[in-house]
Amino acid sequence: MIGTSFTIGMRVPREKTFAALLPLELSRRTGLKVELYNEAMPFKLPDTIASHFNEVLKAKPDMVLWALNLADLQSQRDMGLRVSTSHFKFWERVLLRLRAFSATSLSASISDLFRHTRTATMLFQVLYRSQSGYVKSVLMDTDKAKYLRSEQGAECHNRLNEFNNSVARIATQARDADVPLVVVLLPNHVQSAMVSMGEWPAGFDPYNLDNELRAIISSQGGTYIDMLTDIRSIPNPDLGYFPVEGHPNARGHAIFSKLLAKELTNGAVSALANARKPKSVVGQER
Amino acid sequence: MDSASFQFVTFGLAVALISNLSCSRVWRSTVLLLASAAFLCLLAHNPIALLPLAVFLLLGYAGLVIVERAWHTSLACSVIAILLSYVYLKKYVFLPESIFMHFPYFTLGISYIFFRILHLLIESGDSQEKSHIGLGAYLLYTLNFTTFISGPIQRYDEFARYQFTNLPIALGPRVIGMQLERIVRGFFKVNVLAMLLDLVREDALLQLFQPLPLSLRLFSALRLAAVYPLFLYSNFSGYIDIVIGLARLMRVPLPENFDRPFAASSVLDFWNRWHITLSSWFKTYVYNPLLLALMRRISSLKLQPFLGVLCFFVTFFLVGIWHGRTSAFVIFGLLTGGGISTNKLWQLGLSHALGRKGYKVLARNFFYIALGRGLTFSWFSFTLFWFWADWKQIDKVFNAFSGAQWFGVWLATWLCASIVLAFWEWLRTVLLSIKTVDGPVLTSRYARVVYTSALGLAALVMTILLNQPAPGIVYKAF
Repeated sequence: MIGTSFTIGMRVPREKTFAALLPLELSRRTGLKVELYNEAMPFKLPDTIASHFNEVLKAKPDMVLWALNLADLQSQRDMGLRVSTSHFKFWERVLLRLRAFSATSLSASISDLFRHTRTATMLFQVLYRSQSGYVKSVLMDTDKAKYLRSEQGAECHNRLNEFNNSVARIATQARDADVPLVVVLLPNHVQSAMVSMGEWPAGFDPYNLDNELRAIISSQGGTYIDMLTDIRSIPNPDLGYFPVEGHPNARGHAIFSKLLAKELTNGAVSALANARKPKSVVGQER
Repeated sequence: MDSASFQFVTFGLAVALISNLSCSRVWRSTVLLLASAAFLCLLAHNPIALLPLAVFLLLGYAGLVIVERAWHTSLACSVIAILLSYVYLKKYVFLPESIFMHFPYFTLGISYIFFRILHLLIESGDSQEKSHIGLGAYLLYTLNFTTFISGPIQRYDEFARYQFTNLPIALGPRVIGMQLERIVRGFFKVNVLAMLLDLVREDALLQLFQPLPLSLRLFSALRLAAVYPLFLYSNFSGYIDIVIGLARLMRVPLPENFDRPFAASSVLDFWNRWHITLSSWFKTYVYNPLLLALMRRISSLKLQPFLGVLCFFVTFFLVGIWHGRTSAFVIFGLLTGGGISTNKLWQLGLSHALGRKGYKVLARNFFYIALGRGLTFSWFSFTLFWFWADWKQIDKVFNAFSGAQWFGVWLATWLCASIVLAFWEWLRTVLLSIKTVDGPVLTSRYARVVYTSALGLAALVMTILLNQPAPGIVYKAF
């Protein structure tokens, strides 16, 4: 399995990540012995993953599962600013802050400074318990909401084109090695909340990105599996995320594991679908 | 600008500052007129959209001039003309869609202008001494930006007394401090409290239809019923706090619109404390004349108490249907009128059964008051379903549970409200009983400075954090 921070199970004990739970669930459903090697790399862009994909293929897998999340489609610049500043010296961080400050309005800059304080984090923990409040707040943020719009802008199209190139590189290598490539978009906090609510403001669509990705993956010969539709049947799926920093928590990983196992054995992947299903699982599904 | 936003408060404070540069009535009136015109332009964006409102205002003024000259023949005609124009401009759904104007026009605040115009017409017709109201005074009264969006509905004589004088009421540091405190409190109510309560309501509404266990969904229904009245109170009374504060800084005191409504132990008492200026208007111009007219025709002493019941029903039915243009508000009106007339009948029945003295003793009983308070709250909260929801939503919400389950939710709302409101009243009494020589500590200057600063800071922090506009003032839609 490849991916980034969601896939590696950031901030969750290893045994509670979906990477640990998924093989058990697949084995239970198919009766096969399923082993999963988690080759996820946090905060890496698809382009970097594509560059290292030959190392993944060296393990001679029967299948590669690429578990994406919305943050993987961020630009190189965003990722750079968010990740690498912690390694900078103090004055470099100050300079970066000042540059960011001068690039935005005064009120937005003050707001941004405050939003990163501990007080703000503590208050967010309480405020983001409200499903509708969280969704409203995120959708007001043009940067966070750009991939959730019904009509995506030029920046998103450019990013999706870059993503298409990375997928092409990965898919070619997988095809050459005769390894099936299966891709899934792990819903993030706001997507889950929107799908669960069943309604969202005009101009937004949580399924839109899913459709775009499906088209890209299918055109490159990969298999795309859909998790968003199943999220609807989960009670309060938004509780499966850390409210402020947004990564899935143990509950979220358990949900991912169940839904992924269901989708992987429902016909999307022939090797898993054709396997013998234990009677108990068949009974449950009925 | 159309809600209790930071921009609105800043605008109001700037106008108050300019208005106080001179005490001259001409200066203060010119500033108010220009500010109100600027406010309208900021709200409307397109001048064409203001044309129907301008015609409505001119029609009202024409009616007023005619009534001032010969009331017997023209008052009824003027009132009917204004009423029909109002119904037409508001596009009431019982009228055919084809007759309406099909371009977007401005109707914000028109209900409150309607009440002011009717008040002017009726008072002008009733008055023995015919005093002429000039066009400038008329426009100032009807378009005053502090009362434009959602009231409060101020009487013209009160407005004129404070506005058209060269010796306006005093505005010392203490008054300024008190008004600024009130504005901060109002801002907090609208932008923090109401916003949080609205989120709770939205979440509760969503959870009614999610795949959750029945007990959790029933709890969501309880939250939905209980939170909306609190939201509406925070939203509306917060806005009223702001405009009363701003108007007082401009040396014009506005009438109070709320008096701790959830402390009311009966529906009758509730409507004396909730949207006071609206219910007073209806009592003055509907209840009293109707009761007098009926009493003149029906002289039976036995029937007279029941005439009051009927008049209460008619008056508050009209209060209910005034709130909206759709048939859901007819139900809201029936429930509002039904609630208040049933309450009156209950009082009559108990007085008859226990005697006046016995009834007074019962009405002072702690448990009777607490249960009455809870019952009033739960009744109001359930009538509000026809206030905030359209028929599609109402159908969906009520189909989420069986009748028995909804009855259980209502009972739970009643009991919870009785306990919580009784505790709140007890706490308030205890806190206000802690006194120094200058009065209760809670209302002392120091305590007020502390909590106003805290509310101001909280409002600022939450506005930054939530990154979303507060819900609009609900009553501006009416």
